[in-house]
Amino acid sequence: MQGPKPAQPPGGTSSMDGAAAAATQPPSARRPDVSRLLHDLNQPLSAISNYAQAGSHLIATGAADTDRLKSLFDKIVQQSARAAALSQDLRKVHDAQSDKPSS
Amino acid sequence: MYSKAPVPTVFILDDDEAVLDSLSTWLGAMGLKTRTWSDPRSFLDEYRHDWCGCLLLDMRMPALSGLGLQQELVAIGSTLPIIFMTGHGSVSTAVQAMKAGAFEFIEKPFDNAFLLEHIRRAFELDVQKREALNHQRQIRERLATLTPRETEVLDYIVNGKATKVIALELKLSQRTVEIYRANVMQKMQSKSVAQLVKMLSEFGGGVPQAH
Repeated sequence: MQGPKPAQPPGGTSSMDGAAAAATQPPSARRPDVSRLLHDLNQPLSAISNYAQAGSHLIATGAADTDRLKSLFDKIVQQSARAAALSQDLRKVHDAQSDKPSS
Repeated sequence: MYSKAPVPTVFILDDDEAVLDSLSTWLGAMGLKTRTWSDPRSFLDEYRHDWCGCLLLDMRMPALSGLGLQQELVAIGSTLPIIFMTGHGSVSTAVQAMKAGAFEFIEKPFDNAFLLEHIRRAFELDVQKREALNHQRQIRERLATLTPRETEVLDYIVNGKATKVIALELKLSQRTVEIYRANVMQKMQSKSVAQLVKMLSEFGGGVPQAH
């Protein structure tokens, strides 16, 4: 029914467009940033859990071969790195807020 | 190859490639068939009504929100059960999704065993929905074979009118009404009035007007 929508105008009430909002909002409005980072952090954590459970199940059912397991471990390492980077970003936002004089 | 019955599939839609790949990998390891999309538009373009299983849908996607996609699917008459995944649950969005017929709403990160249980239940629901739709289609097809006069007689029958009454009201002989009646029962593949009434109440659409 609806065609591809253009990006919603900033300041929309929806929390769905957090990325667009965060990009256009003044630096003082940091909350969407934190909310976005927290949301993003869940993605690699979910992925790690999924890959690990896939591997665990493959081993339990005797369906695991070394190549397949290696590929799963590699992906887990990648996603851990991604989570670590997001955690760093959160730390920066936190530090920036702590440095500011309390309002 | 194209004639085989469609295998129940978990259709996964998430804009995060790692989530998509890991879900598909895990569900695949659990022995389930999956298909993945990172773009809701291409999913809608490819969507077919004979797809069975369930849709695992990320609530938050840049091109089209999960709710927007759900609306479009409902608009084209899709009955595929939808399990929504959300990063941070907003109660109002969850309520909206459930009101629009979502099957389940789960928060990321979720417990995998919990999700698997929901997927299995969604598969069952999908089969039931498909059977019900199929049954309705059969009844609609049978109704379509009735002549206008037979449809009229059907209307009287399901309203509990006796042959004598129908004959009087339609100004026909009782013998003629009996023939129409027999035709109706045969075409509707019904053995009794009670069965006919049940069939039409399941159909829900009522008896089409004969005029």
